[in-house]
Amino acid sequence: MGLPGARKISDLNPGTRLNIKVKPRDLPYDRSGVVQFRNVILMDTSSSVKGEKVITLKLENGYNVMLDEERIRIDGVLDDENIFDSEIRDGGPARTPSSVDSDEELPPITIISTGGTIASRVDYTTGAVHPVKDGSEILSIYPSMANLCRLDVRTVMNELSEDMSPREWVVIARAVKKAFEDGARGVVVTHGTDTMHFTSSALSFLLRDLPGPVVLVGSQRSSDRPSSDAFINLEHAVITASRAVLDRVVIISHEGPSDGTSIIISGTRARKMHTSRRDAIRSIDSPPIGRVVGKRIELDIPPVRLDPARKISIVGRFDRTVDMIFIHPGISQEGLDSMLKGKKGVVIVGSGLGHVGKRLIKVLKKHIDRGMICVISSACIHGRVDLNVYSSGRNLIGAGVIPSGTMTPETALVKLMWAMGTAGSEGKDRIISLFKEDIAGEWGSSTPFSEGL
Amino acid sequence: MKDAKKVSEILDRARSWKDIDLLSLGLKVGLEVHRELAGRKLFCSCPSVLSDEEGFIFRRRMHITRSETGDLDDAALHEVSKGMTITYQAPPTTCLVEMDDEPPYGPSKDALETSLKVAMKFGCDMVDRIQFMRKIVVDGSNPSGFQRTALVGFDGFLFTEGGTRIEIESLCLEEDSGRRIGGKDDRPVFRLDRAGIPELEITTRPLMVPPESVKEAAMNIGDIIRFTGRSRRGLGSVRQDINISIEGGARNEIKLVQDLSMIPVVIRKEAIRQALLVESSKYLSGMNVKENELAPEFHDVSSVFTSTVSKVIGRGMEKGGKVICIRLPGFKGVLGRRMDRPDRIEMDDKTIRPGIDDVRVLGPEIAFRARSASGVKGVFHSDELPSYGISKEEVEEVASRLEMDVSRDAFVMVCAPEKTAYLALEAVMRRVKEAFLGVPSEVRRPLPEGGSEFMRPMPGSARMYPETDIPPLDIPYELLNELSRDLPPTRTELLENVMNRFRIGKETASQIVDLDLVGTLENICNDGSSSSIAVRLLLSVIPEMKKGGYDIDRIPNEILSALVDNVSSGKCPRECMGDVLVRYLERRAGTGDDGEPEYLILERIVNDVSKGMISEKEARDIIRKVITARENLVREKGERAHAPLMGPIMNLLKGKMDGRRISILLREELDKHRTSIE
Ligand SMILES: [Zn+2]
Repeated sequence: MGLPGARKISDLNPGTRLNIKVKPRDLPYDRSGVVQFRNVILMDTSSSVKGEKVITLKLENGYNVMLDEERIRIDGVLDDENIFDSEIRDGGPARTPSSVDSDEELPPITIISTGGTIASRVDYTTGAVHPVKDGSEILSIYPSMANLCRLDVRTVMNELSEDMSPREWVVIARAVKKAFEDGARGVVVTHGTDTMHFTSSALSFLLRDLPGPVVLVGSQRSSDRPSSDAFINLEHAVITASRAVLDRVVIISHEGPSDGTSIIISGTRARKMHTSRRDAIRSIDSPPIGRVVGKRIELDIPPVRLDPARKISIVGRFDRTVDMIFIHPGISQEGLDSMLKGKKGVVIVGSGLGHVGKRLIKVLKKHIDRGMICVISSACIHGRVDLNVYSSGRNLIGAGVIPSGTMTPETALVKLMWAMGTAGSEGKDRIISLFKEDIAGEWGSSTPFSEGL
Repeated sequence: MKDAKKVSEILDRARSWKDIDLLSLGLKVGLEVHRELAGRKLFCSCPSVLSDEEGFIFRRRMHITRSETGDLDDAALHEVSKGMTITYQAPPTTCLVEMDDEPPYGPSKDALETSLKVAMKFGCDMVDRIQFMRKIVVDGSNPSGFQRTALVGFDGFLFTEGGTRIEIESLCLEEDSGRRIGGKDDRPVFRLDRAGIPELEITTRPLMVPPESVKEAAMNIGDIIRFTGRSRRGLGSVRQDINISIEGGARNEIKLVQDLSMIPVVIRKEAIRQALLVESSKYLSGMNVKENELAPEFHDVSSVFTSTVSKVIGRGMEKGGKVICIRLPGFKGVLGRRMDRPDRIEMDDKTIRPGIDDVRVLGPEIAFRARSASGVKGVFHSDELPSYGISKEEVEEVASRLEMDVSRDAFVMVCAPEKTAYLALEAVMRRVKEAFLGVPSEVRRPLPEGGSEFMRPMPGSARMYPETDIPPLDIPYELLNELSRDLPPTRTELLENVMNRFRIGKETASQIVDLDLVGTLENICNDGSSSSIAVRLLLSVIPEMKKGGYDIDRIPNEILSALVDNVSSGKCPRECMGDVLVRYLERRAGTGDDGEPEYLILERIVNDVSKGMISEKEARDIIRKVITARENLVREKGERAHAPLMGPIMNLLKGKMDGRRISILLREELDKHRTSIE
């Protein structure tokens, strides 16, 4: 349609304001005449159905409509500013500087931004959620933080949870060390929730002699939503970092579906147990070490004394030639054998108390005999691995595996990576003794009963 | 204000507010009809039903969000600034999706198809792909903080029964929000049973028609959705939002008008409210108020009231409250105007007209604003004082402290803790500034008598962004073509159809349609010749039994249908229908299911009933005999003789006629007898 040389709407830049006329689509009834829409915004020209370009337009009433391109006739381009050229698209300029002048009496807190939902904002064009470009933007999203402490926001990376690897763990650990050396009372690490419990374990093993708390926090609902959990999570993380008498790595998570109370979970005991709930991160086989109720902190562990003069250090590194294998009834000897090829260490997620089928024990033994370290954990997640109850367990012990107690499979994996990386060339015995050492409560002492799982 | 003069002339000519010709005021009405759909929820498989259970209880806080344009819109700010904690109840009929603890599932196919059918019925043009949007709603009614909604069709039309052409601007498919159960304004409680129920929102273009036609349009639009057979019934399943403006006024949205018959009153009262505000603004613009006079200047006048006899003020001050005042320049008399009082404001040498009752104007508006901004209750203005125990001397003292010109100015006074009072008075001042401009654009809540009160400022249009958790949906021609074979009728079409098929009159047909009995009638009426029996059964026998407390829903349609057949073929007397059904229910309740086919049960009951039955005439003869035999009792007790006579009559007629029918006949015969002796 249209005159020769008439502009097609897909030739225009998204963000252009224009008036259009729309002719009817294919309908099973007669419809004549065109409909005029004034002051619409061209949103997107990139999608298509069956080779036909589909144009997304925002109407004056706010609704987006998606129409076949050939139905649309341009009825005048309005010469207003292209709305996508302005800063509007990202939700406005970041108005707050990266550190805020606030009351000198307030404790100095560093926020280390690593990415994830909590440090993301919506692109109102596509509705897609993107990470913030600069940690200081966090302050523009959560301005009320400035009333709780003196904030210093540092962006060390911009990774989604699933993109984190041991290299990032070390980068974060160094940033935490630097923050304390620069005088922080506590450190908050904003992080995606999916792999946060790996990172919290890693930091627990790396960071020693902490002068104050390291608090990891994320959110399950992005901050563009009025209902986002990011606000209360970050607030509670900042409260914990600035007031809790803790010298370890912890995670803040919703206690339940309500906003208002958070649990403080020891870094080595946390696990994400739900894909979408706000209270997804739970403390496994050990009660939370404390709670934040409103603005009050309740700790449930023996008190420690914080020493600001304590010199923080980083101990060890990670060996990445470690893998984790989830044992299931369909796994074959050949399959397991090929998975273990070349691995220096493995965490086997066994069934029940930590069991592995007879046929597979042989394969494990073969690799253990060539020097591989094999740690056994359980697919039950909850409960202790015990290889003395059944013969298959005793056979595993005979093959030379190391049971991982009440550690979650993830904590066991990070611990093994750390033990292997840290022992370096010191050999197998050193690795095993490092693995068996209780560094940050990962071995636990007993598993108390708790209602529900 | 160029329109103010015209408005004044129209108001002058009217003898009462009911006489005012609204179209001459430049009335424009936009109608939004909302109707819920039955079945499953729009974004999860929970049933679309309300629940009596509280279920699981949790609490959330809502937070400021930047809207799409980067600015927080007024409506959102208004809600968020109240700092709400919201309590939700999640009954067992709900899941994590309603709690905003799980992403949505794909939209309900059923709801989507119903929306397309209705759009096609209006002859709408349609989108090629449906994109769901998030519409920010921070009043707490939705745990996500937004409502998911999609524009499906646009530019349709409808002729009402009265022949008015109504232009449809758009049809949207959206999720309903949680149901407000209670709680204070800043701590509301919502039940999530209603959250996520699909609903259609049909928006008309501005209508320039009499209010009665708007009501008819609302009914006819709602009917088309109902006639899909997919709409939900029950309280709150239908509601209208009405946008109203007059020339020189501004669009105000009256939310959630549920009763169709109130629509014309709501429109009339709102139009006149706007007319009076337009007029007030003209008056105020003549008062030469300077900009700097409108900066809020708070005066603590607590010391005036140290020995006040006013209980409201006394109590407030005991609790640590202060009495804070602001002067409103030029406002003398303006705040006190109510339409039911002959206020005397001189304006262009004319006296403001009396006699428009119950339309509230500026005084209450200011009080509402103050209350909604701060929660304070004690807001007083000088036009209503002295009153509430506040003395004339106290009023004069306050006026002199404010150094105000009592012939020109007014004051507003709040008794509350200092911070709260400031919040309240700042809100008052914002409303006062708007009074100079005329009519502010607001969302308003309807009041029972048809007026309305302030809810929140009108939201901007740009508070929507795409719902990325739901991919856009293609609407292919083939789907539309298939659905187009099963479009709902308009009310006019359905009435005609029912009248022709069942050979009944328009009034009966309307009753059948309004009671949603068309389907039942089709089911129980095998041919046109028996329709009068079926209609009698549905419109008189069954409602009577319902009144008598019988559980009619336990009678299957096949029994009703067989009964109609029996009556139609002469096997069962017409007047025995109720009796047959009563016996059927008794039998069902007594023996339970003994495996006997339903039609045999019915046949036996019909045989029993018709065998021993006597005609009404015979029954009346017997009743009359008994009455004559107890002449003295009747004379003595009058109509109260009914009870003692029932016993002997029942003995004679038992099993030959329905007891309730006997009772009615006895009453009639008693009346006849008594009038005959008088
Ligand atoms: Zn659900």
